[in-house]
Amino acid sequence: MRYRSLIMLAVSLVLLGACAQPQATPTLPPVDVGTRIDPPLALADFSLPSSLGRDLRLSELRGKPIVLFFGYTFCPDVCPLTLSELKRVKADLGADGEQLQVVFISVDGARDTPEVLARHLAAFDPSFIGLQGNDDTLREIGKQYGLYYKQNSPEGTSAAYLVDHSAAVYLIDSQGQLRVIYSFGTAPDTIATGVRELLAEQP
Amino acid sequence: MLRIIVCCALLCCALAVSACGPAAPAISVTEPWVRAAALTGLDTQASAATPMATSTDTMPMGDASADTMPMGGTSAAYMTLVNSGSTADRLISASTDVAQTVELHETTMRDNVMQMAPVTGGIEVPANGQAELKPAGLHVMLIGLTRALQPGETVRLTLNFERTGTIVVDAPVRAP
Repeated sequence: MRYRSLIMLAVSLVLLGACAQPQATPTLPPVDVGTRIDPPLALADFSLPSSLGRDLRLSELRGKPIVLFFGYTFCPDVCPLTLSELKRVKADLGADGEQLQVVFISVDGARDTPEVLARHLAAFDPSFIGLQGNDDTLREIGKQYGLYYKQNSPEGTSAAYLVDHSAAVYLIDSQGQLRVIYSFGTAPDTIATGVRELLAEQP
Repeated sequence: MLRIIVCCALLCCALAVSACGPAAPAISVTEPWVRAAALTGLDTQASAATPMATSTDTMPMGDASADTMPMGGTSAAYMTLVNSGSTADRLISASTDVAQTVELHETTMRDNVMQMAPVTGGIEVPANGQAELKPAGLHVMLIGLTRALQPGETVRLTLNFERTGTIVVDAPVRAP
């Protein structure tokens, strides 16, 4: 008799457990904590027309951690998604968010003028800075970032062209050194943790 | 009594026949949404000589905003297309009055490189299945926005399916 109630209890516990399990657990990708660049890579300085309405040198932003990525405003999907996530990173950091500078470098300089970039970024966060890339500069600095981008004109679109491009996010320390590369889709709190680590290093 | 039995039998036959008849897809659209986007002034056609479809004739004369208002920009609409029917269907096109051009595109990610291309032949919605349009995947691409899309607004989308025909949905605008 005792056996039977034990079995009943066991069965009901198993059933309860089954209920508590989320239905159809999605297969989550392994947590991506980014690729650490060790030793840190001193990035070449460059200057590009910016959404601030003037040319901006990367070195002018020293003193703050920078989160940088490459994209283009015509991109309706991945780039705005990344911008939204970077907005979330800033929010995650709370008051420290002010210490972070987000930089968006366009791989589509023909369409992404400083004005277009400014309007596009203002919809996300007016503090984000956009830089109008050009082939010469991008070729020069691209190697350090492992940057790939290529224009193509597939059939079946009214768009003059689309641009395939690297979708990674780069974390740069306040000395202008590349520290971590995050792949597309990295959770905002992972990036926020990386930024916090850099802020903690600062005197 | 016999009459009731016959009636029931006929009814059963009718049901059985209708179940065997040419099955139709049964499409429903769940959780549609459109990404919030600003008007960027982006010339979507680049050098192509396609004039913007602005209806300046309806603008009051002397309205400076008609000249200075930036147009353009892109956005995307996402949703799940559910087919509870036993025949596949296909989303072949879409339209909306907030964009000059609407296309079906797919983003793919290969070795951390983002590629986007128009979908040829539409988006299949399998029988008793679904097609998911979501960020970094399939999407309805809105090219050449005619107005800024603010969170909280609603955008009316007309979806054209190969078999089902037209379905109109009102999709809320939100930040991704």
